[in-house]
Amino acid sequence: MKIVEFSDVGKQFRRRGQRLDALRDLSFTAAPGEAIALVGPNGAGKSTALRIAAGLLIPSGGRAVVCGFDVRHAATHVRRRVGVSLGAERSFYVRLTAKMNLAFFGRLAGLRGRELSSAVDCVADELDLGPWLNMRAGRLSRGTGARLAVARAFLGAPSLLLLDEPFASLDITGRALVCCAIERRLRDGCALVMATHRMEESRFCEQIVELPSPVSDPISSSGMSGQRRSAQPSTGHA
Amino acid sequence: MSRDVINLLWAFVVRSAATYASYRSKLFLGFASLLLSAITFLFVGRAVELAGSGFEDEVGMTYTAFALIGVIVHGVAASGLHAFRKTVRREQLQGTFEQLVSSGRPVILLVLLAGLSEIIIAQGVALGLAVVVVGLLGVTIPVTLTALAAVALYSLTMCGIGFISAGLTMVFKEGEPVSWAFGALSGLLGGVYFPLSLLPVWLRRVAWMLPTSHVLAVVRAGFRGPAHDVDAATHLIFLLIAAAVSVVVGIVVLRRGCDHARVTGTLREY
Repeated sequence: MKIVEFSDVGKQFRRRGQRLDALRDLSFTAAPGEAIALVGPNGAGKSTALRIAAGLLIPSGGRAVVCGFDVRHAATHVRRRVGVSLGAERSFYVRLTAKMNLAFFGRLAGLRGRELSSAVDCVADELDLGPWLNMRAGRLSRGTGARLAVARAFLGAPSLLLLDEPFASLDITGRALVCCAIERRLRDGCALVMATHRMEESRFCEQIVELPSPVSDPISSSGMSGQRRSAQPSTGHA
Repeated sequence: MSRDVINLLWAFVVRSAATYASYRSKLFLGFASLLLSAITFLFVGRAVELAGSGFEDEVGMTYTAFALIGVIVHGVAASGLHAFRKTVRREQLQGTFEQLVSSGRPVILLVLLAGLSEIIIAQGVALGLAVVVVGLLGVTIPVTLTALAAVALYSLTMCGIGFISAGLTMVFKEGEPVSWAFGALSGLLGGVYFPLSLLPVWLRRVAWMLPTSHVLAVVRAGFRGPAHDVDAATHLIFLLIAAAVSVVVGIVVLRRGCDHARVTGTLREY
């Protein structure tokens, strides 16, 4: 069984009468315990692909199935099964402490009581967040915030992790901690789709899906041909 | 209500309370504003009585009591009108709305609980203070079952309109027109500050189309006693229909708004 199946998935946005291709004909699959890296430069559509997989964006074309559910029609079922970190900055309640944020999102993930506190302690230990748990999220350094975002994605034991640039802003120790934590979950059967623009960050991924550079001439809505992207993404080469 | 929903509501209330308490000066200024408003009504009421306008003879209660009932009932229930829209917009701007939605909980439930927690914290504190102020002013508001039912239906109607407003906020952002129009019309024509009998006849017809007019008619009737009794059943039926229609329409509009945001990629907006 596949955890993620993307078949020719595309996404177009309309902005002020213009149509922009954010993602075009992306195809890949991931089985349990498998890791996939979406690699490409800024604007290539990596984050868009992750948002589609998380059921947060409706694709314009193609079919995206996560844990057996179509993201277009059963987004709520999809979201219950994924853990997402779509950029650490501005996704926390900045006036609450790191621990309160984890507890809040843990409750949303269905945890409560001792199960919740042990899950929070567990991810905090794993990512060495202990010293910062009682600090307001808005005062955390970028690196600590990035680790907090990954920790939040782990809560609720998701079947699929969707991580956007999980190593951005991390020092060597932070990278090692996040790497170990991800590998542990992969061994437990969780699948991973990760976006990065640095090939070396995808060393533990079985598949690397390269997304090509965007081109800069947005097309008008009159139906003229031409796209932001000139080439199709290559699929599934290790 | 299932334990899971109560657990979630608790999570939202704790979050809102901690956020609210972290802005200490805002909390203090909120208290001060409410206190000053109440004192203003006290003196306006005394001025009306001094002018000998016969307000009490005509309406059946002092102006202070009349205005306080209007402001409290409309203010507390109408908080639902703005809470949902404000919650959605704030969460969108701070980037947490997308994270909330990604939890896999139904968007309707998330918006409902987030809005409710804001109402419980902000208006709960304000209501407590209002009760103290009302006591200080020597005004007692008799609570009847009919009045409670009317306020409950009115609150539900406001929540429904709040849902509509939240759904439209996902499309129009800051320029959402429903809550503005409804809030402004209710303040002007809902009989909050003055009796509807002062309005021209054609405007009175418009006023009776607003749920605010009906809820205030029922609550004030309880204050004035049997001599000024109103046809409570008619008002309650109007409020029941308004609540049912607004909640159903609100859920549909909120769902559509969320789908729109999922198409346009605006679940979060900086």
